[in-house]
Amino acid sequence: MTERTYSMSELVQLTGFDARTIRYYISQGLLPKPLKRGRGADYSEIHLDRLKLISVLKGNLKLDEIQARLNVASPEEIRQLLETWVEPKGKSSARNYLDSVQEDFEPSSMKMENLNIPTFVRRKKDIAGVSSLSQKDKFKEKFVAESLPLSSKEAGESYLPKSLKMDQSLRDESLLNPMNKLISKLDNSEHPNFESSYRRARTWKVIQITPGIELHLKDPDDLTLARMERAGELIRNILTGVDDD
Amino acid sequence: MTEKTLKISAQLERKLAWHRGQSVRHVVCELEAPKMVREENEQEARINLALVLDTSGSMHGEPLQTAKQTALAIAELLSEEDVLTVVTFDSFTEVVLQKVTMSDEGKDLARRQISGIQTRGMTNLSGGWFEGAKQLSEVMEEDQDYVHHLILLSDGRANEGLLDVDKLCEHVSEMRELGMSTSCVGFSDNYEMKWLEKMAEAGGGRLHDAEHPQEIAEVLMGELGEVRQTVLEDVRVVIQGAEGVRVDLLERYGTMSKHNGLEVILGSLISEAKRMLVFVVTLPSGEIGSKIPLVIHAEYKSAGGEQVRLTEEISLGIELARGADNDQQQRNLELARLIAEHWKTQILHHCMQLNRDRAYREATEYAQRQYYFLTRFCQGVAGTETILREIGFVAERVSNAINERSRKNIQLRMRKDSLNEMEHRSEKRDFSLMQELRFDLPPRINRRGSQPPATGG
Repeated sequence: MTERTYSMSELVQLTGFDARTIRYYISQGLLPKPLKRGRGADYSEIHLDRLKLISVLKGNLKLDEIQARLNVASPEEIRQLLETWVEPKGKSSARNYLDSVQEDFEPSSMKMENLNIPTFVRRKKDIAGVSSLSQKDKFKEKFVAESLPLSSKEAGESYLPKSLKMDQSLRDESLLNPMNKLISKLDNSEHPNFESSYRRARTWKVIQITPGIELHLKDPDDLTLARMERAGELIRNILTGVDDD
Repeated sequence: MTEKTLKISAQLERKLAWHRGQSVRHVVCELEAPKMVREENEQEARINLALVLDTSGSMHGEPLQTAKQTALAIAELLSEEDVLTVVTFDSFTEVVLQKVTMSDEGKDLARRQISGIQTRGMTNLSGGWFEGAKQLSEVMEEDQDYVHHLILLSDGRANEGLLDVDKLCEHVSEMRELGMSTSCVGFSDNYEMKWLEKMAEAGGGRLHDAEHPQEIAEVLMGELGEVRQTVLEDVRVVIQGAEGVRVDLLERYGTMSKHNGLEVILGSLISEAKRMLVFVVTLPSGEIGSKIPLVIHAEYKSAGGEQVRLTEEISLGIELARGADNDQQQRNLELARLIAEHWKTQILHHCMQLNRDRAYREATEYAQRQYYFLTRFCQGVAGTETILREIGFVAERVSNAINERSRKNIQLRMRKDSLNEMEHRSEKRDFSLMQELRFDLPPRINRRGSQPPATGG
């Protein structure tokens, strides 16, 4: 059976990358050379699969890091990962996406209450399928954790998804390889009281001073708030030179 | 089915650049959406619309009444093929009308539900957007064949829910990618323009301003008209150059960096809409006589369609030359004047933003620096005297607080001029920058003693 081939414009439509980017990826070795050169160049399923994978990973990894991982993955492995983990772009994508980010929109007071749930309860909830990891994140983790050999430095600093670094205790540890588990433990031991400082706070008031500078007040009463707003005004005047004379 | 294709053209203002590198050249790219033509059997695009209304305490009275009347008028205008959702937000969000098809019964229900809306509490803007988006996404799941659009109206600053605007815009942008656009309407003087502007940019929609209650009706109806007239969605322009080329954009569209290039997200375009983009290209050094290629194309979908279409690729070349040849080259003066206009809108918008953030010194320095560069650019270009005079005037004026309404009017006008968006407010079609600033406080003497730039003319 002959494999399906694709023209450049088909690749562009199927992957969302533009033609110049695809050519650039070929020149950089992220993709193999086309099957046929020249104007009517043909591309294979391998090109398509690799591009889909790059589109998923490029938000998290640099191109040379993606290249390093692609170089050791066989076409079958890439296909398998895509079939298992990439979200189908279909009718339910928008709804799935909103479900996966719902936590961001919950009222802050509710979020703080959630933090008071003992860790073991939350972990149990997570294991039961309430994990806030989106399908895409899971795919990235799986690709990162299972398919490729990593040095400890890479795994710890650049390869581990941010979400994994931030919230180790909440993740299903079966997703991690031994090296990542070790890093996970190390991360946790460095921040033993990670949540304790803001668990008690129920509301935070933010006073913006100038772009990039804010005052954050935990549970301020009216008097403190008024005083801090005044303090913010003074700082703003100093920074913007209103008081210079 | 009528073929709806996007026209694209691009020109260089100057074709030579200095061979030692760091020359800046401008590429003007023009786009024109096709005319909406319906064949006999072709149906109008169906709309899946969510109206997300701020019902915090400050909307009490006439503003809420007008918003309700406008929501009712919109419900009347929608056809029985369209779906309407109305969400209100204050401290809580409430789905007042949930995915109701606008048949006669649906309109009756809309009238009853919308009439009962009342004001209360704080401003959970992100919660309102999320609830509206969620309702739209449920219709999207059942039937993709709609134009999915969310209009958010707010008169205040978000003080509950998700308070990180960049984070919120990530979600708005992701939903745009998935087929749902977001437009925003700011009402009164107190709304947070930065939030609504960023959301409209991320959502591929438009930002409107309503100063008076009666303008709420004008802009909401205008926006609905634009949604009805949408012919192309998710329009993007991609420009790429050779190794070492850097590309920036003068207009306030959302952009994504590409390797040696830029992708500009224009969002939806209505029938016969025209857009002009000015790319600012910084060039690397190279051999004299060698050409640096730039390739531009656009990608888009037909309204309600899924398939991504591509325009032709436009190839331009900038030739590297000796200093003397570079200095003596011919310029396209008409293009230079257009570029200066767009440059001005960018400068004024940024100045107003800095002024709003009370960064007066930064605003003045920025305006003076840009005035210097723009003056050099405009040498020998007829019709740019007013532009320079206005920038000079603003450079003096921006060192003091400008009142909220004038600032918003200027920012909105600069935005609409720059993006070629429609002004739906009948009173605001005649705009004068000088007039906006004239009623404001007179400029204070510069405390630092530095001279504001002399006004051109």
